[in-house]
Amino acid sequence: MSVVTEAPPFHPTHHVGKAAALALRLAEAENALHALTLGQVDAIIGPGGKTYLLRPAQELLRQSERQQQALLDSVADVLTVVNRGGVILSVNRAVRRVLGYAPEEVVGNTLFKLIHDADISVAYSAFFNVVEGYHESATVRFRHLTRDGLYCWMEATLGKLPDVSPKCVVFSLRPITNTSKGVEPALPETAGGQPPPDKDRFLAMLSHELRIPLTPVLFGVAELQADVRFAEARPTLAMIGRNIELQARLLEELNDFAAVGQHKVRLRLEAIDAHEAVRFVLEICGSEIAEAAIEVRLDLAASESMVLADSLRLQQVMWNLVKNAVKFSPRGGSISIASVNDAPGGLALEFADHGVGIVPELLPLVFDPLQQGDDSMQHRYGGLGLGLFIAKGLTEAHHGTLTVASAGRGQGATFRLGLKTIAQTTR
Amino acid sequence: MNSSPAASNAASHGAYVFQIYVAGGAPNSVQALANLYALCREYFPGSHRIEVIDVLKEPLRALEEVILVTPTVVKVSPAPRQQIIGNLSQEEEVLRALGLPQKEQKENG
Repeated sequence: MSVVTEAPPFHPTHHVGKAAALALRLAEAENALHALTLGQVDAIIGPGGKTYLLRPAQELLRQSERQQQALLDSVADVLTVVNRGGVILSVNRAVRRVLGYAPEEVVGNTLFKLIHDADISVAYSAFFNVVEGYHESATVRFRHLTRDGLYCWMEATLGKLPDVSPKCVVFSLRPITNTSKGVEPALPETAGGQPPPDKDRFLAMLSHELRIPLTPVLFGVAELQADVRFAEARPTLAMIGRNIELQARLLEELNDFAAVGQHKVRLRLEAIDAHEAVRFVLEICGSEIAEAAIEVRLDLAASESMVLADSLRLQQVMWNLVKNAVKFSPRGGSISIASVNDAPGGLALEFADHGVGIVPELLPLVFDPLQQGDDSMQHRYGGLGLGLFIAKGLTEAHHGTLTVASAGRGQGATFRLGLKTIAQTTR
Repeated sequence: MNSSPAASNAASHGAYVFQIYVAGGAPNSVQALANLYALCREYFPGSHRIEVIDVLKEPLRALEEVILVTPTVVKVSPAPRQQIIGNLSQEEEVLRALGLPQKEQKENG
Protein backbone atom coordinates (compact mmCIF):
# COMPACT_ATOMS: atom_id res chain seq x y z
CA MET A 1 0.00 0.00 0.00
CA SER A 2 1.33 3.41 -0.92
CA VAL A 3 0.16 6.93 -0.37
CA VAL A 4 0.57 9.92 -2.65
CA THR A 5 -0.42 13.35 -1.53
CA GLU A 6 -1.11 15.79 -4.32
CA ALA A 7 0.87 19.01 -4.47
CA PRO A 8 -1.02 22.22 -3.62
CA PRO A 9 -3.25 23.08 -6.57
CA PHE A 10 -1.86 26.58 -7.34
CA HIS A 11 1.65 27.22 -8.67
CA PRO A 12 3.39 30.47 -9.50
CA THR A 13 4.39 29.45 -12.99
CA HIS A 14 3.10 27.19 -15.63
CA HIS A 15 6.41 25.34 -15.80
CA VAL A 16 6.54 24.55 -12.13
CA GLY A 17 2.96 23.25 -12.33
CA LYS A 18 3.87 20.95 -15.15
CA ALA A 19 6.92 19.66 -13.34
CA ALA A 20 4.96 19.12 -10.16
CA ALA A 21 2.25 17.23 -12.04
CA LEU A 22 4.88 15.08 -13.67
CA ALA A 23 6.50 14.38 -10.32
CA LEU A 24 3.11 13.43 -8.95
CA ARG A 25 2.42 10.99 -11.82
CA LEU A 26 5.86 9.49 -11.29
CA ALA A 27 5.23 9.09 -7.56
CA GLU A 28 1.89 7.41 -8.33
CA ALA A 29 3.56 5.02 -10.75
CA GLU A 30 6.23 4.19 -8.17
CA ASN A 31 3.59 3.55 -5.55
CA ALA A 32 1.55 1.39 -7.90
CA LEU A 33 4.66 -0.65 -8.53
CA HIS A 34 5.25 -0.96 -4.80
CA ALA A 35 1.67 -2.16 -4.23
CA LEU A 36 2.18 -4.65 -7.07
CA THR A 37 5.21 -6.17 -5.38
CA LEU A 38 3.15 -6.55 -2.21
CA GLY A 39 0.51 -8.49 -4.16
CA GLN A 40 -2.10 -5.88 -3.27
CA VAL A 41 -3.08 -5.04 -6.83
CA ASP A 42 -5.65 -7.05 -8.71
CA ALA A 43 -6.03 -5.07 -11.93
CA ILE A 44 -3.99 -2.68 -14.09
CA ILE A 45 -5.76 -0.09 -16.19
CA GLY A 46 -4.05 0.17 -19.53
CA PRO A 47 -4.34 2.56 -22.48
CA GLY A 48 -7.91 3.10 -23.64
CA GLY A 49 -9.29 1.89 -20.33
CA LYS A 50 -8.52 -1.76 -21.01
CA THR A 51 -8.34 -3.58 -17.70
CA TYR A 52 -5.84 -6.34 -17.09
CA LEU A 53 -6.79 -8.67 -14.24
CA LEU A 54 -3.71 -10.01 -12.53
CA ARG A 55 -3.11 -13.72 -12.10
CA PRO A 56 -2.68 -13.62 -8.33
CA ALA A 57 -6.35 -12.75 -8.07
CA GLN A 58 -7.34 -15.83 -10.05
CA GLU A 59 -4.93 -17.95 -8.08
CA LEU A 60 -6.55 -16.72 -4.90
CA LEU A 61 -9.90 -17.82 -6.27
CA ARG A 62 -8.50 -21.25 -7.11
CA GLN A 63 -7.00 -21.41 -3.66
CA SER A 64 -10.39 -20.72 -2.11
CA GLU A 65 -11.90 -23.47 -4.28
CA ARG A 66 -9.25 -25.86 -3.03
CA GLN A 67 -10.01 -24.79 0.52
CA GLN A 68 -13.70 -25.50 -0.02
CA GLN A 69 -12.94 -28.93 -1.47
CA ALA A 70 -10.67 -29.66 1.51
CA LEU A 71 -13.50 -28.59 3.80
CA LEU A 72 -15.94 -30.94 2.04
CA ASP A 73 -13.42 -33.75 2.23
CA SER A 74 -12.96 -33.27 5.95
CA VAL A 75 -16.66 -33.89 6.59
CA ALA A 76 -17.45 -37.37 7.94
CA ASP A 77 -20.71 -37.72 5.98
CA VAL A 78 -20.72 -38.71 2.35
CA LEU A 79 -21.89 -35.61 0.47
CA THR A 80 -23.32 -36.51 -2.92
CA VAL A 81 -24.62 -33.87 -5.30
CA VAL A 82 -27.27 -35.28 -7.62
CA ASN A 83 -28.95 -33.54 -10.55
CA ARG A 84 -32.64 -33.72 -11.45
CA GLY A 85 -32.07 -36.91 -13.38
CA GLY A 86 -30.54 -38.66 -10.37
CA VAL A 87 -27.03 -38.53 -11.86
CA ILE A 88 -24.23 -38.01 -9.35
CA LEU A 89 -22.35 -34.81 -10.22
CA SER A 90 -19.86 -34.79 -7.38
CA VAL A 91 -19.00 -36.56 -4.18
CA ASN A 92 -16.51 -35.93 -1.41
CA ARG A 93 -13.72 -38.24 -0.31
CA ALA A 94 -15.74 -39.71 2.56
CA VAL A 95 -17.28 -42.02 -0.06
CA ARG A 96 -14.07 -44.05 -0.03
CA ARG A 97 -14.00 -44.51 3.72
CA VAL A 98 -17.73 -45.17 4.13
CA LEU A 99 -18.65 -47.10 0.97
CA GLY A 100 -15.29 -48.08 -0.51
CA TYR A 101 -15.61 -46.22 -3.82
CA ALA A 102 -13.11 -43.82 -5.32
CA PRO A 103 -15.02 -40.57 -6.02
CA GLU A 104 -14.42 -40.90 -9.77
CA GLU A 105 -16.03 -44.37 -9.76
CA VAL A 106 -19.28 -42.90 -8.48
CA VAL A 107 -19.51 -39.60 -10.37
CA GLY A 108 -21.65 -39.94 -13.49
CA ASN A 109 -23.60 -42.91 -12.13
CA THR A 110 -27.26 -42.81 -11.26
CA LEU A 111 -27.59 -42.73 -7.49
CA PHE A 112 -30.72 -44.88 -7.55
CA LYS A 113 -28.79 -47.72 -9.20
CA LEU A 114 -26.74 -47.88 -5.99
CA ILE A 115 -29.81 -48.17 -3.77
CA HIS A 116 -31.44 -51.47 -2.78
CA ASP A 117 -34.49 -52.28 -4.94
CA ALA A 118 -36.74 -52.43 -1.91
CA ASP A 119 -35.71 -48.90 -0.85
CA ILE A 120 -35.75 -47.15 -4.22
CA SER A 121 -39.31 -45.91 -3.99
CA VAL A 122 -38.87 -44.32 -0.56
CA ALA A 123 -35.56 -42.75 -1.61
CA TYR A 124 -36.95 -41.56 -4.92
CA SER A 125 -40.06 -40.15 -3.32
CA ALA A 126 -37.95 -38.03 -0.92
CA PHE A 127 -35.71 -36.96 -3.79
CA PHE A 128 -38.70 -36.05 -5.96
CA ASN A 129 -40.26 -33.91 -3.26
CA VAL A 130 -37.03 -32.01 -2.61
CA VAL A 131 -35.98 -31.57 -6.24
CA GLU A 132 -39.44 -30.34 -7.20
CA GLY A 133 -39.49 -27.98 -4.24
CA TYR A 134 -42.43 -29.58 -2.41
CA HIS A 135 -40.20 -30.11 0.62
CA GLU A 136 -37.27 -28.01 1.84
CA SER A 137 -35.43 -31.08 3.02
CA ALA A 138 -36.05 -34.72 3.81
CA THR A 139 -34.48 -37.53 5.80
CA VAL A 140 -34.73 -41.12 4.60
CA ARG A 141 -33.09 -44.44 5.33
CA PHE A 142 -32.05 -46.84 2.64
CA ARG A 143 -29.55 -49.53 1.81
CA HIS A 144 -26.66 -48.28 -0.30
CA LEU A 145 -24.53 -50.63 -2.38
CA THR A 146 -20.90 -50.66 -1.26
CA ARG A 147 -17.94 -51.41 -3.49
CA ASP A 148 -17.70 -54.89 -1.90
CA GLY A 149 -21.18 -55.72 -3.20
CA LEU A 150 -22.80 -55.43 0.23
CA TYR A 151 -25.65 -53.17 1.22
CA CYS A 152 -25.05 -50.70 4.00
CA TRP A 153 -27.95 -49.04 5.83
CA MET A 154 -27.57 -45.29 5.49
CA GLU A 155 -29.47 -42.33 6.79
CA ALA A 156 -29.64 -39.56 4.22
CA THR A 157 -30.57 -35.93 4.68
CA LEU A 158 -31.58 -34.32 1.42
CA GLY A 159 -31.38 -30.62 0.75
CA LYS A 160 -30.67 -28.07 -1.92
CA LEU A 161 -27.96 -25.52 -2.59
CA PRO A 162 -30.30 -22.73 -3.64
CA ASP A 163 -27.60 -20.17 -4.48
CA VAL A 164 -25.12 -22.46 -6.16
CA SER A 165 -27.09 -25.11 -8.02
CA PRO A 166 -30.83 -24.77 -7.52
CA LYS A 167 -31.58 -27.79 -9.69
CA CYS A 168 -29.46 -30.19 -7.66
CA VAL A 169 -30.03 -32.13 -4.48
CA VAL A 170 -27.32 -32.79 -1.92
CA PHE A 171 -27.51 -36.14 -0.17
CA SER A 172 -25.71 -36.10 3.14
CA LEU A 173 -25.22 -39.80 3.89
CA ARG A 174 -24.08 -41.44 7.10
CA PRO A 175 -24.05 -45.12 7.96
CA ILE A 176 -26.55 -46.26 10.58
CA THR A 177 -24.37 -48.02 13.10
CA ASN A 178 -26.85 -48.68 15.88
CA THR A 179 -28.62 -51.43 13.98
CA SER A 180 -27.78 -55.10 13.99
CA LYS A 181 -28.26 -55.23 10.24
CA GLY A 182 -25.82 -52.47 9.40
CA VAL A 183 -24.49 -54.46 6.48
CA GLU A 184 -26.30 -57.16 4.60
CA PRO A 185 -25.47 -59.13 1.48
CA ALA A 186 -26.45 -57.70 -1.85
CA LEU A 187 -28.89 -59.44 -4.13
CA PRO A 188 -27.16 -62.27 -5.96
CA GLU A 189 -27.12 -60.59 -9.35
CA THR A 190 -25.45 -57.42 -8.09
CA ALA A 191 -23.00 -59.27 -5.89
CA GLY A 192 -21.99 -61.65 -8.67
CA GLY A 193 -21.51 -65.38 -8.24
CA GLN A 194 -24.14 -68.11 -8.16
CA PRO A 195 -27.54 -67.26 -6.70
CA PRO A 196 -28.92 -69.56 -4.02
CA PRO A 197 -31.43 -72.16 -5.27
CA ASP A 198 -34.40 -70.22 -3.99
CA LYS A 199 -37.99 -71.39 -4.51
CA ASP A 200 -39.32 -67.96 -5.51
CA ARG A 201 -36.44 -67.39 -7.85
CA PHE A 202 -37.01 -70.75 -9.48
CA LEU A 203 -40.68 -69.93 -9.85
CA ALA A 204 -39.87 -66.60 -11.46
CA MET A 205 -37.52 -68.21 -13.95
CA LEU A 206 -39.91 -71.03 -14.72
CA SER A 207 -42.93 -68.81 -15.32
CA HIS A 208 -40.86 -66.49 -17.47
CA GLU A 209 -39.49 -69.36 -19.56
CA LEU A 210 -42.95 -70.90 -19.97
CA ARG A 211 -44.39 -67.55 -21.03
CA ILE A 212 -41.93 -66.96 -23.87
CA PRO A 213 -43.14 -69.66 -26.36
CA LEU A 214 -46.75 -68.51 -26.02
CA THR A 215 -46.26 -65.24 -27.87
CA PRO A 216 -45.48 -66.73 -31.33
CA VAL A 217 -48.33 -69.21 -30.86
CA LEU A 218 -50.76 -66.32 -30.22
CA PHE A 219 -49.54 -64.55 -33.34
CA GLY A 220 -49.91 -67.75 -35.34
CA VAL A 221 -53.48 -68.25 -34.17
CA ALA A 222 -54.37 -64.65 -35.02
CA GLU A 223 -52.91 -65.15 -38.49
CA LEU A 224 -54.96 -68.32 -39.09
CA GLN A 225 -58.12 -66.60 -37.84
CA ALA A 226 -57.65 -63.89 -40.47
CA ASP A 227 -57.10 -66.43 -43.23
CA VAL A 228 -60.28 -67.10 -45.26
CA ARG A 229 -59.17 -70.67 -46.03
CA PHE A 230 -59.76 -71.61 -42.38
CA ALA A 231 -63.11 -69.88 -41.99
CA GLU A 232 -64.73 -73.10 -40.77
CA ALA A 233 -62.12 -73.56 -38.06
CA ARG A 234 -62.55 -70.04 -36.65
CA PRO A 235 -64.49 -71.02 -33.51
CA THR A 236 -61.80 -73.60 -32.70
CA LEU A 237 -59.03 -71.08 -33.38
CA ALA A 238 -60.77 -68.53 -31.14
CA MET A 239 -60.95 -71.14 -28.37
CA ILE A 240 -57.22 -71.90 -28.78
CA GLY A 241 -56.46 -68.16 -28.67
CA ARG A 242 -58.53 -67.59 -25.51
CA ASN A 243 -56.88 -70.47 -23.71
CA ILE A 244 -53.37 -69.42 -24.64
CA GLU A 245 -54.11 -65.88 -23.49
CA LEU A 246 -55.41 -67.26 -20.22
CA GLN A 247 -52.30 -69.44 -19.90
CA ALA A 248 -50.10 -66.35 -20.54
CA ARG A 249 -51.99 -64.33 -17.93
CA LEU A 250 -51.65 -67.10 -15.35
CA LEU A 251 -47.93 -67.31 -16.00
CA GLU A 252 -47.59 -63.53 -15.69
CA GLU A 253 -49.45 -63.75 -12.43
CA LEU A 254 -47.09 -66.47 -11.25
CA ASN A 255 -44.12 -64.33 -12.27
CA ASP A 256 -45.48 -61.34 -10.36
CA PHE A 257 -46.17 -63.61 -7.42
CA ALA A 258 -42.53 -64.67 -7.35
CA ALA A 259 -41.32 -61.07 -7.71
CA VAL A 260 -43.55 -59.86 -4.87
CA GLY A 261 -42.45 -62.79 -2.70
CA GLN A 262 -38.82 -61.85 -3.25
CA HIS A 263 -39.51 -58.12 -2.73
CA LYS A 264 -38.00 -57.59 -6.13
CA VAL A 265 -40.66 -55.52 -7.84
CA ARG A 266 -39.09 -52.75 -9.90
CA LEU A 267 -41.10 -49.56 -9.97
CA ARG A 268 -40.91 -46.74 -12.48
CA LEU A 269 -42.23 -43.98 -10.31
CA GLU A 270 -43.93 -40.95 -11.76
CA ALA A 271 -46.54 -38.47 -10.64
CA ILE A 272 -49.92 -39.80 -11.70
CA ASP A 273 -53.55 -39.06 -10.93
CA ALA A 274 -55.03 -42.01 -9.01
CA HIS A 275 -58.52 -41.01 -10.16
CA GLU A 276 -57.46 -41.29 -13.80
CA ALA A 277 -55.98 -44.70 -13.06
CA VAL A 278 -59.33 -45.86 -11.60
CA ARG A 279 -61.23 -44.68 -14.68
CA PHE A 280 -58.71 -46.31 -16.98
CA VAL A 281 -58.95 -49.64 -15.14
CA LEU A 282 -62.77 -49.49 -15.34
CA GLU A 283 -62.46 -49.03 -19.07
CA ILE A 284 -60.20 -52.08 -19.36
CA CYS A 285 -62.62 -54.16 -17.28
CA GLY A 286 -65.60 -52.73 -19.18
CA SER A 287 -66.49 -55.93 -21.03
CA GLU A 288 -66.30 -58.12 -17.91
CA ILE A 289 -68.42 -55.65 -15.97
CA ALA A 290 -70.98 -55.47 -18.77
CA GLU A 291 -71.01 -59.26 -19.11
CA ALA A 292 -71.91 -59.69 -15.44
CA ALA A 293 -74.42 -56.83 -15.75
CA ILE A 294 -72.80 -55.06 -12.84
CA GLU A 295 -73.46 -51.45 -12.03
CA VAL A 296 -70.44 -49.38 -11.01
CA ARG A 297 -70.98 -46.42 -8.70
CA LEU A 298 -68.09 -43.99 -8.85
CA ASP A 299 -67.61 -41.39 -6.12
CA LEU A 300 -64.13 -39.95 -6.50
CA ALA A 301 -64.48 -37.14 -3.97
CA ALA A 302 -60.86 -36.71 -2.89
CA SER A 303 -59.47 -33.31 -3.87
CA GLU A 304 -55.85 -34.46 -3.70
CA SER A 305 -55.36 -37.46 -5.96
CA MET A 306 -51.80 -37.11 -7.32
CA VAL A 307 -49.57 -39.97 -6.19
CA LEU A 308 -46.02 -41.05 -6.92
CA ALA A 309 -46.45 -44.50 -8.41
CA ASP A 310 -45.58 -46.91 -11.16
CA SER A 311 -48.52 -46.34 -13.47
CA LEU A 312 -48.75 -49.93 -14.76
CA ARG A 313 -48.30 -51.50 -11.33
CA LEU A 314 -50.86 -49.26 -9.66
CA GLN A 315 -53.33 -50.08 -12.43
CA GLN A 316 -52.55 -53.75 -11.84
CA VAL A 317 -53.46 -53.34 -8.15
CA MET A 318 -56.73 -51.60 -9.04
CA TRP A 319 -57.43 -54.08 -11.82
CA ASN A 320 -57.12 -56.94 -9.31
CA LEU A 321 -59.46 -55.20 -6.87
CA VAL A 322 -62.05 -54.45 -9.53
CA LYS A 323 -61.84 -57.96 -10.95
CA ASN A 324 -62.14 -59.37 -7.44
CA ALA A 325 -65.22 -57.25 -6.73
CA VAL A 326 -66.81 -58.30 -10.01
CA LYS A 327 -65.92 -61.94 -9.50
CA PHE A 328 -67.60 -62.18 -6.09
CA SER A 329 -70.66 -60.10 -6.98
CA PRO A 330 -73.93 -61.70 -8.00
CA ARG A 331 -75.03 -61.14 -11.57
CA GLY A 332 -76.76 -57.78 -11.85
CA GLY A 333 -75.23 -56.56 -8.58
CA SER A 334 -73.31 -53.38 -7.95
CA ILE A 335 -69.88 -52.29 -6.86
CA SER A 336 -68.82 -48.88 -5.67
CA ILE A 337 -65.48 -47.15 -5.86
CA ALA A 338 -64.93 -44.11 -3.68
CA SER A 339 -61.96 -41.93 -2.84
CA VAL A 340 -61.31 -39.65 0.09
CA ASN A 341 -58.38 -37.72 1.56
CA ASP A 342 -58.60 -39.42 4.93
CA ALA A 343 -55.60 -37.58 6.35
CA PRO A 344 -53.33 -34.76 5.18
CA GLY A 345 -51.20 -36.28 2.44
CA GLY A 346 -53.25 -39.46 2.43
CA LEU A 347 -55.55 -40.86 -0.23
CA ALA A 348 -57.86 -43.80 0.42
CA LEU A 349 -59.56 -45.63 -2.43
CA GLU A 350 -62.35 -48.01 -1.42
CA PHE A 351 -63.48 -50.83 -3.67
CA ALA A 352 -66.72 -52.21 -2.23
CA ASP A 353 -68.87 -55.04 -3.49
CA HIS A 354 -72.14 -56.42 -2.16
CA GLY A 355 -71.31 -60.00 -2.96
CA VAL A 356 -70.48 -63.18 -1.08
CA GLY A 357 -68.51 -61.45 1.67
CA ILE A 358 -65.88 -62.97 3.88
CA VAL A 359 -66.39 -64.78 7.18
CA PRO A 360 -64.35 -63.22 10.03
CA GLU A 361 -62.11 -66.29 10.43
CA LEU A 362 -60.97 -66.03 6.82
CA LEU A 363 -60.36 -62.25 6.81
CA PRO A 364 -56.70 -62.52 7.90
CA LEU A 365 -56.08 -65.06 5.14
CA VAL A 366 -57.48 -63.01 2.26
CA PHE A 367 -54.08 -61.78 1.13
CA ASP A 368 -52.33 -65.11 1.50
CA PRO A 369 -51.40 -66.74 -1.76
CA LEU A 370 -53.64 -69.55 -3.01
CA GLN A 371 -56.45 -68.66 -0.56
CA GLN A 372 -59.86 -68.30 -2.09
CA GLY A 373 -62.43 -69.08 0.50
CA ASP A 374 -63.05 -72.82 0.82
CA ASP A 375 -62.40 -75.46 -1.81
CA SER A 376 -65.84 -75.17 -3.33
CA MET A 377 -65.21 -71.48 -3.98
CA GLN A 378 -61.92 -72.32 -5.65
CA HIS A 379 -63.77 -74.33 -8.24
CA ARG A 380 -66.59 -71.87 -8.63
CA TYR A 381 -64.46 -68.79 -9.20
CA GLY A 382 -61.34 -70.11 -10.94
CA GLY A 383 -57.86 -68.58 -11.12
CA LEU A 384 -54.82 -69.17 -8.97
CA GLY A 385 -55.99 -66.89 -6.16
CA LEU A 386 -52.78 -64.89 -6.39
CA GLY A 387 -54.39 -61.60 -7.41
CA LEU A 388 -54.88 -60.13 -3.94
CA PHE A 389 -51.47 -61.30 -2.73
CA ILE A 390 -49.88 -59.56 -5.73
CA ALA A 391 -52.02 -56.46 -5.22
CA LYS A 392 -50.92 -56.21 -1.59
CA GLY A 393 -47.26 -56.79 -2.47
CA LEU A 394 -47.34 -54.14 -5.20
CA THR A 395 -49.13 -51.71 -2.89
CA GLU A 396 -46.50 -52.22 -0.21
CA ALA A 397 -43.74 -51.68 -2.75
CA HIS A 398 -45.38 -48.26 -3.20
CA HIS A 399 -45.33 -47.79 0.59
CA GLY A 400 -49.09 -47.94 0.55
CA THR A 401 -51.51 -50.11 2.49
CA LEU A 402 -54.16 -52.55 1.35
CA THR A 403 -56.70 -53.72 3.90
CA VAL A 404 -60.02 -55.53 3.77
CA ALA A 405 -63.20 -55.36 5.81
CA SER A 406 -66.35 -57.46 5.61
CA ALA A 407 -69.36 -57.82 7.86
CA GLY A 408 -69.48 -61.54 7.15
CA ARG A 409 -70.81 -64.05 4.70
CA GLY A 410 -73.16 -62.54 2.16
CA GLN A 411 -72.43 -59.03 3.43
CA GLY A 412 -70.00 -57.97 0.69
CA ALA A 413 -66.43 -56.82 1.18
CA THR A 414 -64.58 -53.52 1.04
CA PHE A 415 -60.94 -53.26 0.06
CA ARG A 416 -59.21 -50.07 1.09
CA LEU A 417 -56.14 -48.93 -0.84
CA GLY A 418 -54.18 -46.31 1.10
CA LEU A 419 -51.63 -44.17 -0.76
CA LYS A 420 -49.61 -41.06 -0.04
CA THR A 421 -50.35 -38.04 -2.19
CA ILE A 422 -47.84 -35.58 -3.55
CA ALA A 423 -48.46 -31.90 -3.99
CA GLN A 424 -50.23 -31.11 -7.21
CA THR A 425 -48.21 -29.22 -9.77
CA THR A 426 -51.24 -27.77 -11.46
CA ARG A 427 -54.74 -27.23 -10.31
CA MET B 1 -10.64 17.59 -10.35
CA ASN B 2 -13.97 16.10 -11.26
CA SER B 3 -16.42 15.95 -8.41
CA SER B 4 -19.83 14.36 -8.41
CA PRO B 5 -22.72 16.47 -7.09
CA ALA B 6 -22.89 14.26 -4.02
CA ALA B 7 -19.19 14.71 -3.40
CA SER B 8 -19.31 18.50 -3.62
CA ASN B 9 -22.39 18.58 -1.43
CA ALA B 10 -20.70 16.49 1.22
CA ALA B 11 -17.51 18.52 0.83
CA SER B 12 -19.37 21.71 1.59
CA HIS B 13 -20.38 20.19 4.93
CA GLY B 14 -16.78 19.36 5.78
CA ALA B 15 -17.30 15.61 5.40
CA TYR B 16 -14.74 13.10 4.19
CA VAL B 17 -15.34 12.06 0.60
CA PHE B 18 -13.60 9.03 -0.88
CA GLN B 19 -13.59 7.38 -4.24
CA ILE B 20 -12.51 3.78 -4.40
CA TYR B 21 -11.57 2.15 -7.69
CA VAL B 22 -12.09 -1.62 -7.66
CA ALA B 23 -11.90 -4.46 -10.20
CA GLY B 24 -15.21 -6.28 -9.74
CA GLY B 25 -15.05 -8.72 -6.85
CA ALA B 26 -11.28 -9.29 -7.00
CA PRO B 27 -9.88 -10.12 -3.56
CA ASN B 28 -7.71 -7.04 -2.99
CA SER B 29 -10.53 -4.80 -4.16
CA VAL B 30 -13.00 -6.42 -1.80
CA GLN B 31 -10.53 -6.19 1.05
CA ALA B 32 -9.80 -2.53 0.34
CA LEU B 33 -13.50 -1.75 0.25
CA ALA B 34 -14.10 -3.53 3.55
CA ASN B 35 -11.15 -1.76 5.17
CA LEU B 36 -12.30 1.62 3.90
CA TYR B 37 -15.84 1.10 5.20
CA ALA B 38 -14.48 -0.01 8.59
CA LEU B 39 -12.17 2.97 8.79
CA CYS B 40 -14.89 5.45 7.89
CA ARG B 41 -17.31 3.94 10.41
CA GLU B 42 -14.71 4.32 13.13
CA TYR B 43 -13.27 7.76 12.32
CA PHE B 44 -15.96 9.65 10.43
CA PRO B 45 -19.25 8.20 11.59
CA GLY B 46 -22.12 9.91 9.82
CA SER B 47 -19.87 12.34 8.01
CA HIS B 48 -18.41 10.46 5.10
CA ARG B 49 -19.21 9.56 1.51
CA ILE B 50 -17.75 6.63 -0.38
CA GLU B 51 -18.14 6.34 -4.12
CA VAL B 52 -17.27 2.94 -5.52
CA ILE B 53 -16.09 2.84 -9.13
CA ASP B 54 -15.76 -0.56 -10.74
CA VAL B 55 -13.15 -0.16 -13.45
CA LEU B 56 -14.45 -3.27 -15.20
CA LYS B 57 -17.71 -1.38 -15.79
CA GLU B 58 -16.44 2.19 -15.99
CA PRO B 59 -12.88 2.06 -17.30
CA LEU B 60 -13.08 5.60 -18.68
CA ARG B 61 -13.57 7.10 -15.24
CA ALA B 62 -10.34 5.46 -14.14
CA LEU B 63 -8.61 6.92 -17.17
CA GLU B 64 -10.01 10.40 -16.48
CA GLU B 65 -8.66 10.31 -12.96
CA VAL B 66 -5.38 8.74 -14.12
CA ILE B 67 -5.88 5.66 -11.96
CA LEU B 68 -3.17 3.14 -12.82
CA VAL B 69 -4.17 0.10 -10.82
CA THR B 70 -6.89 -1.23 -8.54
CA PRO B 71 -7.58 -1.04 -5.72
CA THR B 72 -6.98 2.69 -5.44
CA VAL B 73 -8.64 4.93 -2.88
CA VAL B 74 -8.81 8.67 -3.56
CA LYS B 75 -9.54 11.06 -0.75
CA VAL B 76 -11.40 13.79 -2.65
CA SER B 77 -12.02 16.05 0.31
CA PRO B 78 -11.01 17.62 2.54
CA ALA B 79 -7.95 18.93 0.68
CA PRO B 80 -5.32 17.94 -0.06
CA ARG B 81 -6.42 15.26 -2.46
CA GLN B 82 -4.70 11.98 -1.65
CA GLN B 83 -4.37 8.68 -3.40
CA ILE B 84 -3.78 5.38 -1.62
CA ILE B 85 -2.93 2.29 -3.59
CA GLY B 86 -3.40 -1.24 -2.21
CA ASN B 87 -5.83 -3.15 -0.04
CA LEU B 88 -5.50 -0.80 3.00
CA SER B 89 -4.44 -3.71 5.18
CA GLN B 90 -1.75 -1.64 6.94
CA GLU B 91 -4.14 0.48 8.95
CA GLU B 92 -1.48 2.56 10.73
CA GLU B 93 0.02 3.66 7.46
CA VAL B 94 -3.38 4.68 6.14
CA LEU B 95 -4.17 6.62 9.30
CA ARG B 96 -0.83 8.38 9.22
CA ALA B 97 -1.29 9.27 5.56
CA LEU B 98 -4.71 10.69 6.27
CA GLY B 99 -3.37 12.62 9.27
CA LEU B 100 -5.61 10.76 11.71
CA PRO B 101 -4.72 9.72 15.27
CA GLN B 102 -3.34 6.20 15.35
CA LYS B 103 -4.62 3.47 17.61
CA GLU B 104 -1.47 3.05 19.73
CA GLN B 105 -1.41 6.76 20.39
CA LYS B 106 -5.05 6.71 21.41
CA GLU B 107 -4.49 3.80 23.77
CA ASN B 108 -1.30 5.23 25.23
CA GLY B 109 -2.72 8.72 25.56
